[in-house]
Amino acid sequence: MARRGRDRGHYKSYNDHDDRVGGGNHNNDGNRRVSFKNQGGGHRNRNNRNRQQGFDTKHIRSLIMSNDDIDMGGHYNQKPNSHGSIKQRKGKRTLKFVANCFYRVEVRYGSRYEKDYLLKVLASHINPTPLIPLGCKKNNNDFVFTVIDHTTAEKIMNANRAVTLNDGWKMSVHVRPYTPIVEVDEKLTTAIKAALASRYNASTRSLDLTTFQEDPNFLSQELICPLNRSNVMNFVIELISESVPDLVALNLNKNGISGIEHLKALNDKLPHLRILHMAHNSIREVKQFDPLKGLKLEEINLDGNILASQFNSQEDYIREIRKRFPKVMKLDGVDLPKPITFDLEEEDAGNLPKSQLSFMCDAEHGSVMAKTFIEQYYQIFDSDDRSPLIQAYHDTAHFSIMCHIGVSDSHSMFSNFIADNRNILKFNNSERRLKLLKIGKHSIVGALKSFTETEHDPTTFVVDLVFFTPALIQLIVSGLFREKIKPTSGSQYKYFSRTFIIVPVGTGFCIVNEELCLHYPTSAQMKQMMSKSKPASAMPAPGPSAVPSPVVPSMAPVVNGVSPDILAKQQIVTELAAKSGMNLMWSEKCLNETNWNLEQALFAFMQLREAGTIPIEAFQK
Amino acid sequence: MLDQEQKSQIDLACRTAEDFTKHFYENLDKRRQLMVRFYMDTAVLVWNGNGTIGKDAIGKFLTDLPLTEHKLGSLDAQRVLDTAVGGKLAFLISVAGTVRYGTKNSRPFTQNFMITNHEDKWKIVSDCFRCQDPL
Repeated sequence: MARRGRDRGHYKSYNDHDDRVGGGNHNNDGNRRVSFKNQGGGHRNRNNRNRQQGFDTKHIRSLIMSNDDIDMGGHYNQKPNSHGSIKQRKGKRTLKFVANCFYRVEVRYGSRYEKDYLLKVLASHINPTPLIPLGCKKNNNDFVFTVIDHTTAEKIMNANRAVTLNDGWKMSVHVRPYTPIVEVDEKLTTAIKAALASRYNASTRSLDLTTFQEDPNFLSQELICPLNRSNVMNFVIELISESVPDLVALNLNKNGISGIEHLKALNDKLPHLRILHMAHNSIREVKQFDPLKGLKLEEINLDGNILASQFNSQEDYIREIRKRFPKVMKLDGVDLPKPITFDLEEEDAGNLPKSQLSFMCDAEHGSVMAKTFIEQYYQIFDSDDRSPLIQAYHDTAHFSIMCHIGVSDSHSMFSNFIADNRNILKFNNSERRLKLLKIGKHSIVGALKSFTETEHDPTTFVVDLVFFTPALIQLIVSGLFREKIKPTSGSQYKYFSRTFIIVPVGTGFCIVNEELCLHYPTSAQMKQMMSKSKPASAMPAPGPSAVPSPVVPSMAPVVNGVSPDILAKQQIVTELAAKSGMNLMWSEKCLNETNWNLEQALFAFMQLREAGTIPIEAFQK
Repeated sequence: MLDQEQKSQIDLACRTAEDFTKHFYENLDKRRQLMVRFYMDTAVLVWNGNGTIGKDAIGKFLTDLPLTEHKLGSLDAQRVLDTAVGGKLAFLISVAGTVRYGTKNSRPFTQNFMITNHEDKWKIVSDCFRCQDPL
C-alpha cells in the first residue's frame, strides 16, 4: 500500500507540475523541487515590465531543468538536482540536452496573434533549423506548442526578447523539457496504428519502436505521442497484442522511458516476447524489472541507461539480470556464457499430448462405416440438391446449428447460417430454444436446403469415432468448407465440427441426433486452405483410412470440378500478396471485397494504407 | 407434434447443459482432482484424437494436462433420441470457446459430451475434445 500511495503522490505532483505551467496557483508546494515560479506573487504580474527581467532569470533557471524535471516515470523522492543547467555565455543561452524528450514552448501573450504568424516568425528566426510544432494550442493568454528536436528548442529559447513582433512587442518565449499528457483519441489511434504497421517486420516478428515520437505518422499531423506515458504505452501494447500476439522482439530504444512498472502488461499480452531492447532510456534500477519477470526474455539491451553503472562488476550486473530473466543469453549486445541450471520441470509445462488425426474406437468395422457414411453424406450435402439427405435422417431426428462467434468475429461473417443459430448461452427463452431445434426429417432437410451451397475439403477432415456399437454410433467430423454464396463479411471459408448420433437400421444407418458447430477459421487454417487449393497433385497424401481420400471416385468430381476456379483465384491472391506485402489471407479478403479485380484491390489497398487503417496482422506472414 | 413431456425434456437438456458445463470447466480449471467424478466408470474421452477409456484413466489424463483456463462462447444441447439410448435419459452437448494452456496463447476449441442420468447424478458417457488447429 505504501508503494501505491507513493505512486499516486507522484502522479499528483506531476500533474500539478504541469498545471503550474498553465498558470495554476499552488502555494503549498514546499516539497516540490521546482518551486521558484510561485515565489512572490508579484512575479506573476507579467505586465510589470520592470520586473520581468528579474523574473525571467530565476524563471528560466527553474524551467530549464536537468534530468529531474523530465523524469517522466517516477523517482519523486529523488533529491532536487541543485546544479544549474542553464549556461549563459555571451548572451546566448544553452538548453541542457536531454535525449528523447519533448520541449514545451510557451509564447507569452501569444494567443492574440495568428498561429501561422507566430510560427512563421519563429521559423524564420531559427532558420535553417526546421520547426516542427506539435499540438499547437492557446492556453489562457499564451500560445503553447511542443517540439522534439533539441536544437530547435534551444534556438527557440534564444528567440526570447530577440524578436520584435508586428505590434512592436518583443516576443517573450519560454522553453522547457517535459513529458506531455495526452489523451489517445481517434486521430492519435489511427496514427499509432499506421506507425506500428510501418515498423513491424513480419519475417522476424519484431517491432522497432525506436524514437517512436519522431515517427512521420505523428509529425505530419502535428501529433504528440509520448511512449513514456503509461496510458500511451499501455494502449500501444494492447494494439500490438491484438494484431501480433506472437511478437518475438520489441525495440523501445530512445523513448525517454524511466518508469516501467506498467510494462508488466507484456507478461500476459505478449507471451512470446523473447527480445526486449530498451537502450538509451532512463531506467535507474534493475529492481524496476521485477514486474516483468513473467517474460521469458533471451535477449535484453539496456545500454545507455543508468542502471548498469550501479554495479561493481559486469558479473554482478549479469547475475542481477539473470535473477529476473534466467534465460538471457545476450545482454547489451554481448553473448553470455550458458548458465548451469537445475533439472526441474518447466514452469509452463507446455507439453500437450500430440494431436492425432483421428480416433477410431473400432478400427476394423467402424472406420469403414465412418468413411462410407462421410463420403456419401457430404457428396449429397455439397451437391446442388440436398433433398436426398432425407433418407439419412430418422423420422423424429433432432438437428441444430450453432455459430461460434469469437471475440474478434462478427455476426455478418456467419450471415448464411445465423438465422438458425442455437447458442443457448445467448438466450434463455425456452420457446425460442425449442423453435431453433429442427425436429423430424422434413424439418431438418428443409433447414439444410436453406443453407448456402457448400464445398467441403475432405483433405482437412478430422474424424473421431467415439462409439461404434450395434445400438449407437457417435461420430464427430470436423474440417473446413467453402460457402458458395459470400457471407456479408469475412472469408467464405468456415471451420465446422459436426456431431452425429447414428443408429443402425437394417443394412444401413440413420441419424437420430446432429449438432453442427461453425467457427471462423484461424489464420493457420486459412493458410492451410490456401496452400491446399493449389494443383491437386500438391495435395498431401490422405491420412488414415478413416479420412475420406480425395482419390475415391465418388469424391473426385467434387475436387476436380472446382480446381480451375480456385487455381485462378490463388494466382491473383499470390500476385496481390507480392505487390502489397500483405499476407495471403488478407490479400484474399481484399480481393473478395473488390470482386477479384486485381487493379481495384491494389487501389483499395493503397488508399487504406494511406489512411493507415490496415492492421499489422495483414502483413504478418 | 411434440407432447408436453418431450418439450420439457428439450428444455431440461438446455438447463442441464448450462449447469453441467459451468461445473465441468470450473473444476477442470481449478479442482482437477475432482474431475474423475464427472465420468461414468466406462466413459470414453477422446482428446485431440487421443482416446482414453475408463474414469480413472481419464482422471489421470486430465490431471497430467498443463493448467487450463477455459472460456465458453457457445453452447447447444439436445436430448438423445430414445431409439439410440434405449429409453434412458441422455443429452448431447456441444461447446465452443477458447482454452489457454499454461502461459500459452488461448486457442479456440470445440467439445462434445454425451451425459446420462446415472443413479440420480449426471455422468459423462463420452467426451470428445478438439482444438481448432490444422492437422
